[in-house]
Amino acid sequence: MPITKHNFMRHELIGLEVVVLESSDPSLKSLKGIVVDETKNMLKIEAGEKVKSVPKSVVHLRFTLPNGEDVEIEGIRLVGRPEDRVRRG
Amino acid sequence: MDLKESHKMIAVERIERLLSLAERKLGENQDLARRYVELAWKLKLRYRVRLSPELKRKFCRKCKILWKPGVSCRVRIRSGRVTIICLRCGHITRIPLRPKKNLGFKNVNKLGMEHERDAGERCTCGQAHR
Repeated sequence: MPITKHNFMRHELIGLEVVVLESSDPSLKSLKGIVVDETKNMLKIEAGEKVKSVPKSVVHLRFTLPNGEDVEIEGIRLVGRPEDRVRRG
Repeated sequence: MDLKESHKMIAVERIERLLSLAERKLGENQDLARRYVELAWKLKLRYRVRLSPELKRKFCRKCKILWKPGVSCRVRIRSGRVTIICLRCGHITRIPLRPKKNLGFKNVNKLGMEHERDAGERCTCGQAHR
């Protein structure tokens, strides 16, 4: 099943466009880029030339799925190793 | 171990996505490409996914580097097998050749690897090499 609004929490985030909507760290707000890597608690987002490490638990994100849909989600719900997230969420 | 079919379907899609992303990133960042292959491998192990023969022969089993003949690997034909030597970790992969296939050219195209020929040279892969 392709990435949909519902199952994207279990799907691959690497390669998706993402925007940071809210964050407890003001320097991360309105960060816009593509996810290049993922660990248990962090997302690495490439914005222009820079690659920023963003903690999942303090942000509110909007992802753009390959089919064009946008999904907003609290980062806390994405915490977990990428290989574990298939089962959980 | 609870292996729901939905988990496996998602795993399969993620693996394919990661491997194709890895191929795209290979030019700019080899380490990142390796990382994607590693992730795909972890998913494959965890969710018991079988890779198709083309996919499984695109990278080194040991160090998970994507193979590019001349750059990351050395390809030879020895004793009726294609022998691939990883230039990064030294691991050797052997793939048996079926007797009916054309052995006149090095069968890199059988592996689906990117390869080059001088302009005008014939190649068994069917692509037009310029």
